[in-house]
Amino acid sequence: MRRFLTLFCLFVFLLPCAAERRVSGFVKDAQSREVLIGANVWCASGRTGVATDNRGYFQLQSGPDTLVVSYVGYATRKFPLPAGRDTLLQVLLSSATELQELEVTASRPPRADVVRLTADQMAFLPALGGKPDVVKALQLMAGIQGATEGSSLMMVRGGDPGQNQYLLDNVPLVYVNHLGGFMSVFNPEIINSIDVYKGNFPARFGGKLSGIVDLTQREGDVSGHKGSFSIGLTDASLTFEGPLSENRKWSYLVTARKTFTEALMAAASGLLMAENKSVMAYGFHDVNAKITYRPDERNSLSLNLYQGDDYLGTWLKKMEQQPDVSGSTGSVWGNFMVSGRWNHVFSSRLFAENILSYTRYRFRESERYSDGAGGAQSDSENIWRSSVQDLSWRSAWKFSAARWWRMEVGSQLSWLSYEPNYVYASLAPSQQARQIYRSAEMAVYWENRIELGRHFLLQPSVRLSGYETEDAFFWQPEPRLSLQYSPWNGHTFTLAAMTVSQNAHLLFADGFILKNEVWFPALKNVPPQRSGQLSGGWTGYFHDRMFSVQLEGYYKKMENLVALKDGYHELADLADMEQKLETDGVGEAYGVELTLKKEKGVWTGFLTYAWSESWRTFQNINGGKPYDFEYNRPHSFAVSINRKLGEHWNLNVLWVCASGLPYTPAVGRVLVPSGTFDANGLPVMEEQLVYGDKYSARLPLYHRLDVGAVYDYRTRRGNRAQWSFSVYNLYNRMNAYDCAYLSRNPDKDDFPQEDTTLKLYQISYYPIIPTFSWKMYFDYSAARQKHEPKRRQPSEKPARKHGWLYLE
Amino acid sequence: MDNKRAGKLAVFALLSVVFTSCYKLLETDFPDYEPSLVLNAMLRPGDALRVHVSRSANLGDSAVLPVNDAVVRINDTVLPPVGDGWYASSDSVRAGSTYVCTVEASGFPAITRSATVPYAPEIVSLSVLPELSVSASGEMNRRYNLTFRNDTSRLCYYHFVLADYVEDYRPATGPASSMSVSEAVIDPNSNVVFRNEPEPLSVFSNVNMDSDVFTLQWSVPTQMRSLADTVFVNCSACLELQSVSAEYYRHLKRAAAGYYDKNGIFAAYASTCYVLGEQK
Repeated sequence: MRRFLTLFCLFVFLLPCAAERRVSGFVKDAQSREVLIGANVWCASGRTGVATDNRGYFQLQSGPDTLVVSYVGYATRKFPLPAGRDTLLQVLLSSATELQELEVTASRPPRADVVRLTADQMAFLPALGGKPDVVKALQLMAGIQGATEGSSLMMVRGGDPGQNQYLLDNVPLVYVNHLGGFMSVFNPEIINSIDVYKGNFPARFGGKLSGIVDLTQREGDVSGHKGSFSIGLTDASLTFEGPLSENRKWSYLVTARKTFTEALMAAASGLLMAENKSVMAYGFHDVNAKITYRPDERNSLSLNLYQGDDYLGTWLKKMEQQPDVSGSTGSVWGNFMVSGRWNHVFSSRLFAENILSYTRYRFRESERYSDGAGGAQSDSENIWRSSVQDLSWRSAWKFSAARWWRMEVGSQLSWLSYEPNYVYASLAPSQQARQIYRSAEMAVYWENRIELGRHFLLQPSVRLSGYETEDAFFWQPEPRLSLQYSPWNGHTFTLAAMTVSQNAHLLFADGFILKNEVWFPALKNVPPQRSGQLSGGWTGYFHDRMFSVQLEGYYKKMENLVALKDGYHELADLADMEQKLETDGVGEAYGVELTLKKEKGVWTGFLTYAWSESWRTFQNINGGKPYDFEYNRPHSFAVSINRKLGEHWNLNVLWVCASGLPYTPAVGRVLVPSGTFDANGLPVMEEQLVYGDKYSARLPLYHRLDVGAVYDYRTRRGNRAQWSFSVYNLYNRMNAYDCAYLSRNPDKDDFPQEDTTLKLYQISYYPIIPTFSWKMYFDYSAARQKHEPKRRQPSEKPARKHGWLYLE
Repeated sequence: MDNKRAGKLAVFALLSVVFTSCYKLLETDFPDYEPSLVLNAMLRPGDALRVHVSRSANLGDSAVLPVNDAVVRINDTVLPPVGDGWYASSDSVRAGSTYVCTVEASGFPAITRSATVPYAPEIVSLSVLPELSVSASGEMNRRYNLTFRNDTSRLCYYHFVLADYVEDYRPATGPASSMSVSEAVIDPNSNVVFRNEPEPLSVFSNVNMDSDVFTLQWSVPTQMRSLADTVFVNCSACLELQSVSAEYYRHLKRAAAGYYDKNGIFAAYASTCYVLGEQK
């Protein structure tokens, strides 16, 4: 048996290698050295081709051949590979404006269950705050829906908002909303590329059931010190980047955002609401920093930092009759994340990435009161807090076993600490014991990419997940299988199946104003969520990849979903949370998604349509009958058209149309005792509504038209600048946000008072909203660069450096 | 956490300036709802035995109509109609008794409900605590302790009610004239009794009470002057501790979430009140 295995390994690993050599490396921007994610790299013979991953890295094997590399917006280049052995490559591409663009002719199209969005594609979409927003842009994609209007909560293929994993450079971020969901925490200034996996997750991803949002941050531009400043209606942001050393081995990128609404809001609440006894202010900030060190071509180290918080506070006004009294309330919530990453190219067949990270999410509310004249007993402080901490190590190894077989193996180990509900009351006779749940998550995975001839690609993978908490251990094998068939160049059919588990449950607790995210770990009696998904689709390119079509259908089943029992709403209610959960939830979702894109030419744009159904069943909710998922919209449609006008203007029109959200309808009225009595001692009876099945009715169709224009120009000092104008909801459609049964319209005074019949009114919040923002780029090393020798023209002749071949 | 509700109101008021809300008529024709018989009763010791019968209405109807031609029996006693949907007998409700009520009306299936009338709880003391707390809208809360006797031998349900305006008070049955009722603010972490109790916390059971005497800590905004000043000062307000039947307990919990039984509520309770600083 051992001899057989040895022979098998020799056959598999060595035999193919004897005939062909391995080619691997990075594709980067020739000037900034920023990695290009999703660049197509293939052999001109058409035998093999790959796309770069989110490190800009690729691996392939070929015989003597010509390498072709393409990337949207960059000139497609062909590089004859010199004869020789295994080759490590640094491919440097220049933007298409500098060199004549070549036509792209080959490589396998991306899968239909992956959405890729670049910072450039996002930049021109009209946005509510005047500045692009990552999650709002993703909500336009087929299969991804938002919650209520304006919210950054994201639902992928009928899943819950807590079933999405947001990875910032492969490190999970727990909380992704600013301003209660009006904006996401991802500063568009630092985004290189966004991949969203709606299903068929690669085995390296796990821990969330429905969606993986993989955001790759840019690295600092090593060509010079640069930056940008932008200001919109809600916030301003500042970005700096550049090399940290003369040899360009070190680079930095720092960006920060801050609202300027605090003072305005405090003034408004103090002046406009003079009768109010307190002043209120809200704001947020976030900071991203990244330092990258590349000691040589084989190694890359980076240190990432993210910190962002929202804060809402009220302060008691001074009272004449009680000058010694002071009081305040405060809420603060947000993430802190720090991570270190080391990438190493061992050889042309082996690449490794190791990440050590720490992430913390916490939400904290507090109340303070002091009466200087009342003594110590008159001072009080109450605190409510919920937090999650995650210390993780991830290791991934990419290995090219043969021309037709590449694999990735890896592992993950996480130590998590959940404190879903901490309460402190300074004047309480005794403090509540802290409930901290500590757990460990571990996973090993094995991804395979096996090319079966020229037309088939098989990707069998497995992820083995383990989860240990204080009272239980769960393990779950998660097999995943994908088969792609490419009968013609530019067309791929995919069939996929996957299972995945999730060890943390997201619940929403009422706060001062917004609903707060509370994470609760799986326990013996609250088992991990599980999901299985089947999907199949077709991706096709037409007219030299000018047009693309993605069509996909899916079926997903989710188990062990949780919901808060009736009567538990606030953080203070959630002690002993395990007792307050419905834990037997089952979810079912299915649908069809269509995406049409035009990515070249002066007219570009996309059209997306999704039909989806999503149901939930809990034994103690809705009488045990299945009900529509709270945020499901069976039909959603979006069309975006972008037109470049000359050198300066870029126009965009976006029309969104979707089914209304479901609501629970009232079906009748009854008399019930009010709890009070009249003068004759008889109970006072009052009318109340009787409701029908949960979420069995639907609000009217939602639609709106947004238009945007970006004016790109040079300032008198030569800096590039942009004005962005956008109008949200151009035709002032009053879309239903919610509804209420009322006997008269609260907006109208002339309604007959005696009419007591009930009518259903929709409540709308978002009228036409014009916004604008201004952004200026600056290059504070430009003056110095004027004296530097002119950059040499790209050469067809490859240069060798430290054993690496530079193709430029 | 009532402070937070006040905060929400203030912030929503501010947001309404920025995003002006708009109401628009959506629906006036609703599908017909099959009407059902609705039986309501609030049985209190000392009160006359009486129930109210009505029929449920469609959303578009102008009013919910009482039913005056039903046959109502309680424990084999037929209650005659007294008008406007009320049926009453001269018998008084007695604490500790179980009442089974059956209602028959033409065109509807008969409905039967039962309730056992609890005994009134005994209030031991009421005291005010010196400290104040502040809410998000700047209102201050005054804290109180209410101590009452608890029967640990059986499952009991309580409802704590604040009434800040009472025109008439009857010692036998509690507040009897028009009044407005408020929920007391109870911190769920103040006692293990409330830690697993769904909202509203003013309705609670004695499942986790292990003592014959229980002290309920609650607070009320000082802006509610009539109560805050009146627990010990001569003013027209009172607090009421009710011992309620199991069905009434469930009804109060569901009603707080806006859900009501389509067949009404057959409730029983007995209460003890504090008015003007003295126990009644």
